[in-house]
Amino acid sequence: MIKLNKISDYIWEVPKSFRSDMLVPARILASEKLLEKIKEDLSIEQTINVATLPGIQKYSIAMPDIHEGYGFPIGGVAAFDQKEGIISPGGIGYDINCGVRLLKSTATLVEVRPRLPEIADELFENIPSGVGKGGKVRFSDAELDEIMIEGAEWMLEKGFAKPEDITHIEENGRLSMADPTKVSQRAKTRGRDQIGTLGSGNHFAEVQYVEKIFDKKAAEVFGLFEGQITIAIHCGSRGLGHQHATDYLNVMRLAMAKYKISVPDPELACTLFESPEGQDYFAGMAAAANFAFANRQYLTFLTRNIWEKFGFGELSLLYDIAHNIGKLEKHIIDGKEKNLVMHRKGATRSFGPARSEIPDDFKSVGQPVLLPGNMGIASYVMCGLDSSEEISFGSAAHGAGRVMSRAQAKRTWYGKTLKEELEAQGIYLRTSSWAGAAEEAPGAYKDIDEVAQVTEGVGLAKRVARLRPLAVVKG
Amino acid sequence: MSYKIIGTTADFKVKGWGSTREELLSSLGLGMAVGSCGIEVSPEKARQEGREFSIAVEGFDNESLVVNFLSELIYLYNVEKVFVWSFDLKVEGFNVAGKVYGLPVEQVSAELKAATYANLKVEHKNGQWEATVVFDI
Repeated sequence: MIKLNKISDYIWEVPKSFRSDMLVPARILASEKLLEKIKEDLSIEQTINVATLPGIQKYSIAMPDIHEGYGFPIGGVAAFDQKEGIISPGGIGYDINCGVRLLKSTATLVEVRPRLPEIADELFENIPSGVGKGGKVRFSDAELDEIMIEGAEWMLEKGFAKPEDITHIEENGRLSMADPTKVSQRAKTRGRDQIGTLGSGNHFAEVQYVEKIFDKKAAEVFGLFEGQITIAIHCGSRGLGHQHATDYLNVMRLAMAKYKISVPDPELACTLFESPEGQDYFAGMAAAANFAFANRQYLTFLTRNIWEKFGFGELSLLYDIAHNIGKLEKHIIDGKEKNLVMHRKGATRSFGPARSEIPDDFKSVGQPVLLPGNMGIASYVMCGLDSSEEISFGSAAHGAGRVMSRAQAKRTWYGKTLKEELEAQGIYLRTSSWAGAAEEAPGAYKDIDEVAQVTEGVGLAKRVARLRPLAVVKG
Repeated sequence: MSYKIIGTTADFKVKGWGSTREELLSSLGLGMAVGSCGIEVSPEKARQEGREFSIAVEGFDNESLVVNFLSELIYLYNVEKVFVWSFDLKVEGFNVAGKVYGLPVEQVSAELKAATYANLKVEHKNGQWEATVVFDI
């Protein structure tokens, strides 16, 4: 029986005295309402398990949209000392740099609404999605290696990006420590023909409109207005990332005995960040992350081509964020600046105005934080807060986590009926898998409004705009 | 040998069992295919109409044997676009080799990202091998 101590309205703590192997407390950032759902799976147990890993700093943290994952929960944040701490593929996720970007248009809901079914069809026809679906382009081995080094910049060189896109991507779309030689041939084979593909599951391209502005100043800085059409693209590193994570979980499991590390769950397999295995994994992870940045950029290129056909003006990039990633960041702990290996799995960076890493044009308000909801309800644009530093190492939720298994969702909803219900609300769904659509039913997810409100209430990010879906393409 | 598919919040689990480790691996492989495709294809059909692949997978304990074997099947799906429905395996130590028979499937409902080690414990009790694998989809 796990007893949670209430630290404040939205901060709950399991003290480290709860279990002898905990090095730090576990903190769950949630409302009482969200906590009821959180207690239904193993999220809290998993957050506690993370608190046992060597070199962990301050707390093992669970975001408001937390749900059970593999070893690490999904919606978890953990920071490790760079010299004495570990790196763990499970704390970053199989889908390395799964993330989301938001494109802004100059068009409005009124102009675009009559053409929505056509737009949905065009997006579905021209953006490859679905299980096992390859992309329209195939890159050579040499090009793939270049993409893994240069990320979104490669796409700019080849004419698939606008120069102003690059500064609006986390890390400018390129992690500098990437080394494609640390990515296996197997991973490259899996990923080679997947650039420009969405994948399946909860990945999507979605046309939306800005329904409500919460913060006028931030909205102005972000270039958002009520009634504006936006397009979100959500996907990651596809098979390349999945394989890299799989490869290194094995490497780490084998290496742990050497470093005398033992973990409560094999999926928490890790080695010291500064070990050869840790460095190799990280350099390969960065390469896979760059692949994902490049993928989202190429998908933007495809989307812009489609959008152009409708004559609704240009699409500019607001921001692109990663929500499954390992990062080297400096944070202040007990008054001292420390070099940390941040693990965010199902969690987003959420830097406020004080951080130098954010683009110049956002420095007055903080970085955009994107919270994709589910396809029936809403998504949020938020902005990072300086207060998130102390609470969560500058991290926030990544969306509305699941509350129901895919199997149960398929038993509860029928994909085709869902399509009709959504269309009755003016939302056009295009998918190659009705079963997959049922798995993504709005009811299978947490309440995004609650997640966004709690994210703001706890001080991680504040709401800027609520977006509603209009056309959803998923695999 | 047999398997059972269990849903969890973000993915699915397959519980497999058998009197030998070969049977355990086959059960888990079959369960994974059924869980992904939502249908069952007979081993006979796979042998007669499908493609044959040789596999050789190494592990360092029973858990890595299981995960690496299933990862091999996932890789086969990604690259050859087939799901495996029939298995002819030989386990030696923590390695497995043999032939598998795969067929393409029209509609796949769950894209397998990986077979995970989450809560994985391969057990041998009362003459039966048993394991439950969580898949990330």
